Amino acid sequence: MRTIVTLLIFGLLGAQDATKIMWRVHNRPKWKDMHAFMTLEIVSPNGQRRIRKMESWSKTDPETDETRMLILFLQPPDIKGTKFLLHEHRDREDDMWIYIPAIRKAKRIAASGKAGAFMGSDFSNYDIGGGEYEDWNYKLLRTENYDGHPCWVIEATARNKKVIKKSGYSRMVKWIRKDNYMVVRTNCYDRAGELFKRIETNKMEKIEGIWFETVMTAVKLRTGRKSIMKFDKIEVNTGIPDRMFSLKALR
Amino acid sequence: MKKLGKFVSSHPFVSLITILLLTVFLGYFMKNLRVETRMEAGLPAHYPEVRAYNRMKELFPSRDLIFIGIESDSIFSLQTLQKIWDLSDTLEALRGVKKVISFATISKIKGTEEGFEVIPLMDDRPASSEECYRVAKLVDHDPMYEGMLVGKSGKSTAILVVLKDGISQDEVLGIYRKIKKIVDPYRGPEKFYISGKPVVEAMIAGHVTGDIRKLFPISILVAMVVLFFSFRSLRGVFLPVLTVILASVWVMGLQGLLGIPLSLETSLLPMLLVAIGTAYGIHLIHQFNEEILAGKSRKEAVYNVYVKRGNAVIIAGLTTVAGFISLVTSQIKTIRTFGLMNGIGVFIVLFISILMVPAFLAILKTPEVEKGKSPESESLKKLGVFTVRFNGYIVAISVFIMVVGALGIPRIRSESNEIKNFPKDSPIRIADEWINREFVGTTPLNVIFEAEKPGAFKDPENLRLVDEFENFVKTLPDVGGVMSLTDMIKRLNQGLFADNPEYYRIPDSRDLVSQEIFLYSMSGDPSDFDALVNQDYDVLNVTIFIKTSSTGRLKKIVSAIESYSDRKFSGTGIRVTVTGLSRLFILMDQLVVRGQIASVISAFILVLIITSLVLRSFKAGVLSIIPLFVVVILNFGIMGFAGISLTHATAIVASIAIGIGIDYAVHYINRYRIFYPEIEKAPETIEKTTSTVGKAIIYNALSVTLGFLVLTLSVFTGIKRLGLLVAITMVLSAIGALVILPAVMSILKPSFRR
Repeated sequence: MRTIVTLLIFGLLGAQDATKIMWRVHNRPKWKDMHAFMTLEIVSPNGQRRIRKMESWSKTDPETDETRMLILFLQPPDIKGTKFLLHEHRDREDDMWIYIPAIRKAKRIAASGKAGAFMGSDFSNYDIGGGEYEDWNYKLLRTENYDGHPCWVIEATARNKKVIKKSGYSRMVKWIRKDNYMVVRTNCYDRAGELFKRIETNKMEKIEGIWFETVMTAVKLRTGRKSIMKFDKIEVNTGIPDRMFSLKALR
Repeated sequence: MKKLGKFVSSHPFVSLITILLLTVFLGYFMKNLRVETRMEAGLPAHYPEVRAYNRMKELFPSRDLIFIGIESDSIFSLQTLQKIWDLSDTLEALRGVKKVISFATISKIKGTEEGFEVIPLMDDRPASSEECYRVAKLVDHDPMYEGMLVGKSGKSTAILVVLKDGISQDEVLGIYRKIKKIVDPYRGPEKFYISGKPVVEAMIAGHVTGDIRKLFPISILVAMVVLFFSFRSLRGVFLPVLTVILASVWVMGLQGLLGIPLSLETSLLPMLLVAIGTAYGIHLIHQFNEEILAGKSRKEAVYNVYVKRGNAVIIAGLTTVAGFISLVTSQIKTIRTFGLMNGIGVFIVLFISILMVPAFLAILKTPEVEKGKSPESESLKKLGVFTVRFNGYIVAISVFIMVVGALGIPRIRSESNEIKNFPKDSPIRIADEWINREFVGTTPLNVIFEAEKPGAFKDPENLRLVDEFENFVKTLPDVGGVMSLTDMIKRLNQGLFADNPEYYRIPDSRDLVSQEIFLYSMSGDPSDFDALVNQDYDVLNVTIFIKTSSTGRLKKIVSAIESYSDRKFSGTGIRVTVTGLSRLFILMDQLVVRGQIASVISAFILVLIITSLVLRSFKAGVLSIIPLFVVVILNFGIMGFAGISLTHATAIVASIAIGIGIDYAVHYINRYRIFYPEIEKAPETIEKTTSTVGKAIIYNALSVTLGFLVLTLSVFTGIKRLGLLVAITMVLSAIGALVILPAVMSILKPSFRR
């Protein structure tokens, strides 16, 4: 009996720890603003590569912690000039617009399909958004070394069916570096509970005292298709003006 | 033969132990047996049609889907929509399921002045009739849903379960069973229908083993009854039965050892071996009994069995093997494997019979054999007299019957759709027919457009070409619907221009096409395009849903499409290939017909060679196959007139008929040759021959006929018909050997020298 109680207590503590760790992961310090070039490379199982290039600006309101982001698409040529604008909201659905250069009009789009692929890549929109802390129940599975760094291995289980539907995952297992709270690897399990995707952080840099993942890879384990996302020429805290993120600037 | 006779008669235990060891060894491998009933598995991989199909499967994700049709008085009622929601939710979480397409999971493109949305029809489980009304409004008359998710009558909808690529048939069967279990509690007042190609194939696979379990014991029982009436002794029943059971174990074990999967055809092996194989044991025991009767010791009797009957039994067996082996000329793998394995199977029966039956006879205590009645029978003698007297009429009538039969041949229809293997009143058949009536059709034809440059199918010019093609296809008869990228782009364009119907067209600029697709990928699920176009936008897949499985009509559609694309796409740099399941059905049909002709001809040639060699006379060889001509032509005539279609199952009948039927004629001619030198007059020789071998032929034909009639208890229409046709041809072969052959011989008056 006593062992059961002990186990239970330790189990609860484990959950507590994991939740705390994940809270810190989700609430790492942020820069005021950021400007960067992004390259998204999609490699099909037969080795074919498709490359998309983007330029991005983002800014986080220090009071509300809401982020605004503008992405300008540079490549491939037929979508060059297309822009994507995001206004994040804490209390309601995010606002999103797309500017279509061929008709010189901006259209508001709805935030459906977060589980959908980000720009046809193996990252989902949910992966790119970083996921939401409140969606999951966390449990510390073990600690182990990954890539030479001591890590916590934490299991995140969907709180409810809606989360599964939204994210496309029933469960994730994350490797988190103890020294900087960076997620270095995520195993993603589909609705049937099958491991189908793995996301890895291949490179991270410390810029102005803040760690940031500059190269990430997502692999679909069944097909072997993978996508690589790279950040280049990162500039931070340059004082990007608010008008960059206005609807007017989109046109 | 003499050496073998000496060996077995003096060391019976050695041969018995050899048999036992081989049985244990091969029997062990029966555990490796798997079932494979997918049509593609039977088709030759080097054919352009098959290559095109496999290429399509590589380029585009599997559209292997399980179709759940729902019939409801009001498909937008709260109750029905809730059921759709709950079912979709449960099915999506099933292992092996890639995605579920239903009202609960799909989204609709909606454009306004300032916005563009891809909105799910249902956000959540509907709780009020207002929410249901919203769904109904969204679905209303959208061409994207008609025929796909909304049936003709408006009182039906569907849940499509798309399976993951590369899952095995066992998994499909498991998923189907789970789906059935999941759906069951939801039945009523809505009606649910479950079908789809994977279901049909998996159900065949599931029934194949059930069929063996059911039919094998019955055929053993039938064989035992026949044997009992023939011998009225325990050993007479059990030795032949033991032989065929062991042979079945060997053959199945061998299949497992070689990794050859069970198909609809090869699953018949055990039953066929029982029907065919007991005859060899019968012959050997008969000879043994005769020897004992003549006062020989057991050892001598066994030795004489080999010397006197050994060759005859081997010849009967070899012709049967030849009949089956003739099937290896077929291009269809399953038929080829069936022919080969059955040939091997009969050879094994022969092998075991010859090694084991006499060995047992040598060990068991000498039986009390009653002196039987004279082998000559009065009524059979009358038959012999009759055939001689009316020889002209008999030949004339046979020729007449042959001509009538031949008239039926052009009426034979071939059929490759496996669904026809289930009886008309079976749930799966009912479901399939209902689905084909209500929706666009379950057998797709795919047209693949391949351009030289990546991105070619973002070019408005190319898209318009395909769009025109689509409009043409829609005018063809039996076309239920078309699914293509162009519809999607037209819809996107309309959405971008505030849903104005005027903009339901291909945009004028390539950039706009790209940006619309990009817009969709940012707001909807980009994998919605996966089945329509490849990543590089240089290969397009247009799916045409066909409402008929008649190969003749399918062929017309295919040739109409091919001549259209020859005219419109030549010089555009776009290559057009017609493929898909329907195209494979056509190929299967062609191969079955072609293989049928080849295998019948080669069976005749093989049998002619063997009988000529054995009877040491080409004339005798030709004579022996005359009755078979009549039988084979009648078989096809019956198929034509009775509307029994030629399938990969019924295509086997002729070869079996030739391989087994020849035995009776060989038997007859052999005896005739023995009697002729004594009598030297054809008519009298015929009378004596008929009266002595008649009984044996009739008994033999009867046991094979009954053995094959057991197959009519099968679940599968194809197998039932196969059993019935072989049974009929066996009766006809016996008549051929006892009536037509003597009539011909009494006209030709052959004088054989030994």
